[in-house]
Parts: sequence; structure tokens; C-alpha cells
Amino acid sequence: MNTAALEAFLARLYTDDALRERFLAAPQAEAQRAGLNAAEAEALAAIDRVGLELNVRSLTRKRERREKRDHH
Amino acid sequence: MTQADRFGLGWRPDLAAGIFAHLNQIDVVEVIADDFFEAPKKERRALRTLAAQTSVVLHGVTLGLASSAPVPTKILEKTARLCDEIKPDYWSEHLAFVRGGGIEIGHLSAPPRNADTVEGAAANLARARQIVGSLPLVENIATLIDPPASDRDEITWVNDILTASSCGLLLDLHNLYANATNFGYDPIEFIDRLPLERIAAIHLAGGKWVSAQGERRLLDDHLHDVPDPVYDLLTAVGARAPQPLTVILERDGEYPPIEILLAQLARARTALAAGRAQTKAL
Amino acid sequence: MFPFDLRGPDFLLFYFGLSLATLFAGWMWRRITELGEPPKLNLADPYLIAHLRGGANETIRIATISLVERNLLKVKDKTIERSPKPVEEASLPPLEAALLQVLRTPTEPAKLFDNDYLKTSCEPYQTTLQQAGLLPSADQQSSRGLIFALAVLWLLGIGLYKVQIGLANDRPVIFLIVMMVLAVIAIITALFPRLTPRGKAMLADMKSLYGDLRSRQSRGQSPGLQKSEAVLIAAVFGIGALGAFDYAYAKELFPRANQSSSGGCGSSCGSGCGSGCGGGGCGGCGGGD
Repeated sequence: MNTAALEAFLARLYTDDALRERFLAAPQAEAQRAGLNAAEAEALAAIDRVGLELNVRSLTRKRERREKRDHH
Repeated sequence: MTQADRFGLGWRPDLAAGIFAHLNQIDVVEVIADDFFEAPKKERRALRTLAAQTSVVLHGVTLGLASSAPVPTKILEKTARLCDEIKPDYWSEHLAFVRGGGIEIGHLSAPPRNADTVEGAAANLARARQIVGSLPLVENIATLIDPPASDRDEITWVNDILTASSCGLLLDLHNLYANATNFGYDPIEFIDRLPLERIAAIHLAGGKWVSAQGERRLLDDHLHDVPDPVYDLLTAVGARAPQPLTVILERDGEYPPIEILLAQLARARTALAAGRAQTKAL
Repeated sequence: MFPFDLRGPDFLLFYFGLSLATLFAGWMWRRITELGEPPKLNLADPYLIAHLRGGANETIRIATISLVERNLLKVKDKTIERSPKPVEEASLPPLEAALLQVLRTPTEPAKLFDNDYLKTSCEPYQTTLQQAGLLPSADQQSSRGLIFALAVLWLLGIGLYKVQIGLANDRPVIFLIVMMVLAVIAIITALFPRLTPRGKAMLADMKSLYGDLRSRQSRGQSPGLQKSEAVLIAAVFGIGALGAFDYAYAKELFPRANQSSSGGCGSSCGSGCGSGCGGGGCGGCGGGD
């Protein structure tokens, strides 16, 4: 496994709404399009979808709070 | 409580008046290091003034050291500079990754738990020691998502990193409680499998339930009071780890009156003391 | 060219430069001899902090507010007087006990500052702050005086010599005399501030550590203030800062204090303001829903 590539993909998955939407529709295809190999794509396809949704929601809220605070 | 156990709060400007008014009940404050990396000279001097009044420990949040990728040297250099200026009792960071492929995630994330991230963490810790001059305590993080592409469970992964480095552990009990609740394992078993002598500090915090797709999970948001099970875990640690511990209560917002936070700190003292008493009774 | 041979405007320019250099030397001397690492201080004592910020008058103001908050004093019309609430005076700090004694008779707030008994009760704070190097000690005041005398002798000596030359040559000397007076005033300001550089830094640091109170209050982020915290905030920033926390009576009691106090840290809002653990939740997934 190329963990660096996996981490890079996860970083995009958590922060890029469009990528995430495509990934959820076709996870292996999207992972391989990002340059991951078949084994890595398969591992990602089994991703914890509930956790992913909650994680992204939490991240979005945190980003909004930070922007609101920085604006002040 | 042994004589050397210490209890403190996370330093937040919102709590400054309350903390200063009650320093006789607070042994130590934990400062978020990253808040001061880009701070002007006068703010870092203010931090030295704080350090002259009470014990200070530094807590980093943007290093992302549990990654297969090297951590940014700049952050280590800034940490080193701050440690030189403040001379904290220790500094700490998280077993997390926070960036990948040039993208900043914006919060602490659980990396794939595999040999690469263990090796990466060990290498990053070695570099940290070289640049900062000391190893950090490493903290277990809470995660809402079971990290994909993992080939081992959390306790094995944490232990692998501790074995590969010689750093101490900052055991966040609410993170442990949240992960155990969310992913179905026994937090006491987790504690029992840790190299207990390596635990140097404890974090306490609170959270709330969140849900998606009909499933709910516990979110560690630092915006709520410490729940009862976390105090029970503190008692369990006290019964198992006889060395002095620094216990920090974390609160990042929705601040209650300082008396409420001090009451939680007092309850933590009682909980740890109860654990110590169990050890003595054996 | 010998400076005394310089013509009028040129000599004024020279004298201006000389005054600046002397001023800078005096300021540097004070920084070298009076600056130091921050001391350990009882930052829970609002009277100590108030005394650092504004001397005896400010200490009396803050102590008065503290006693009102604890219902040991009451405000009636435009006067303050002791309330009927019983208290063991021996357990109080000397300044508080003194205030309760003085205010057995209803008194206008402004008159408190003329009371010698109250001022004497503030002397322990003066002593503590001097020992901590935050206010100049007697030795430091003497040293300041010596440096001042040397600086004034130096500048006035040169200035008066040129004045003599000017008068002898029937030249106007008024501008030089004015500049000499201004130079002396500037040196007094540079050499005799109330705080030492260490004290000034300590006060600035406390304001920095407290962060941007007003901004947080306007965002509704400040927790309900406990009385002890309100008094501390008033000690650090002045009574004006309490205005952000619904302490309107304090502004009415001491209106002049509000004009002079900063009321919040102003520009020194630290980057740590409300950031928490990297922007919310350092355990991983803070921030929430």
C-alpha cells in the first residue's frame, strides 16, 4: 500500500465535496482515477460511510467556526 | 492523589480572569502552541509572564506526526523556538495526520493504522527530538471514522508507535471513551494493554452525540462537561499507573462559569485519588 | 566645525539632535537597569494589579467596586456608604477594612481619593510592586535623579553657553531657550515614568493574556462573570471595561475613571483569542454539529 497516496486521497475526500460525491457514487473508480492501485481502491471502497459523513460534517462546522472567529 | 499529581486547565483567554482568580486551585495550564507560532513578540512575552506565574505545558495541534509523510520542518522549528522561550514542563502533540498531498484537512484525522504510519510517526518523532530538543508526549485522538486501509486496531497501532519511539503518552480519556463507544471495544482493556508506565498526562473533556444514516456516534467536541464514564476511566488509570500524572481539563467553548470547571477539576482529583487508594488497598 | 560656531538655525538643529541623543541614552539606561524577566506575582489580587496600573486612586476605586459587589457597601443617590451586612473586618485586607471604616459616613466617591488613611492602606501594594521591580524602588528613584541631573547639566550647560554667545552677539535666543525647556520636560518624561519597563511590560502582558474582552462580549462568548473575575478585569483594564459586562453603576460611581481606562485590550487581541485547540476540539473531531 502506498500510504502517502492514501493519506493524500483521504485529505481530498474530507475537504472536496465534488470528489466525495463522485467517490460515494463509484468509490473504486474514483480512487483509481486518483492514481491509487486496485488494492488501495478496494480498501477505500470499504470505507466507513457513516463515519465519513459525520467526519466531514464536523470538519465543515469547525471550518465555519474558525472563519467566523477570524472574521472578528 | 499522590503528592506529585497535578491538575490544570487548558489556557483560553476567555477563562483568563477565572484562572487567575483561582490559581490556588490550578497546578498547571496547557497552552495551545500553534496559537503563538505567528504571534507578535509582545504576545510571546505575555506567555512568558504566564509561565512565571504557574506551570505551563505546550500542546501542538498542526504537526500531524502520525503520517507516513515527514512533518513540516517549519512547524518543528516554531515549536522549538516557543519551547526555548517558555520552557514548558513538556510539550505534546497528536497521533494524527492533518494534511496530505499538499491539502490541509483542517483538523486532526486518524491515518490508516499500518506499518507505514507507525514508521512515519517514529521518524517524525526522531526529527522532532532533534529539532525541538525533546520528545513530545503523544496523544491518542478521537475519530468519527474508522480509518480505512488499516491492518491493525487502535491499541496495537498506538503501542507500535510507543515501542518504535521512546516518548511518553498523553492519554485522552474522552477520546478513548468516544472511540470505544463508537467502535465497540472495552476502554479498560485498552488501558490494560498500554505500557502504563509511559502514561505521563491525561486529558479530560466532553462531547455530544451526533448521527447520520440512522447511526449515532459520540463526538469529542470539547464543548460539554466531562461525562461520568470518563471519571471512571481516570480512576482506572489511577489504580494502574502509580507514577505522577498531569491531568488537564479541556474546554474550547460554551464556557460555563469558572466554578463549574473547577468543580470538574475537583472531581478529577477525587477520581484519581480513588484509583490510587485502590492500589494501596491491594 | 565647533558646534558653538554654528549659526542659529544650524545650532538649533544640532541642539535638537543632541537632545534626542541624550533622551535616548537616558531611556536606554532605564531599560537596561529597570527591565527584567517577569516576576511571580499574586495575579489573583486585583488591588495589586490596580495599584500597578493606576496607583492608590485606582486601587481605591477597584476596592470600592469589589465591596459593592459583595454587598458590604451600598450606593445611595450619589454617595457610597457601608451596608448593614455584618463582616469580620479583621479578615479583610487592610484597604477594605479602611474603606468600611471611612464609609460609615456616606461619602461622595471622588472624596475617597483625598483620604490619607485610605492612601496609607495602599502602601503595602506599593512596597510589593517595588520589591518585584515593577515600580521603581527608592534606590532606582535616586539613580533616576542622578541621571536626570547629569542629563540636564549637560544639555542646559551647552544651551546656556550658546545663549550667552547669542546675547553677546545680539542674536535672538528665544527659540533655543524654548528648546531647552522642552528638552528638560522630555527628559523628565523619559526618566520618571511611574512604572519601570518591567512594570509596563507586566501590565501589557496581563492585558494581552486576557485577550479581546469587548469583541468576545459582543459575540456573546463570555461566560457569566463571577464577582471575583469582574473585579480582576476592572483591575487590569479599568472600570470602563466593566461596561461591556453590565456594570453600569461602576461607570456612574467613577465617571473620570472611564475616561482614562482602556476598557478592553484594544489592539492587543492575541492570536489565542478563543481559538481553543486548533480551532475547536483537539481530540480529533471537535467543532461538532
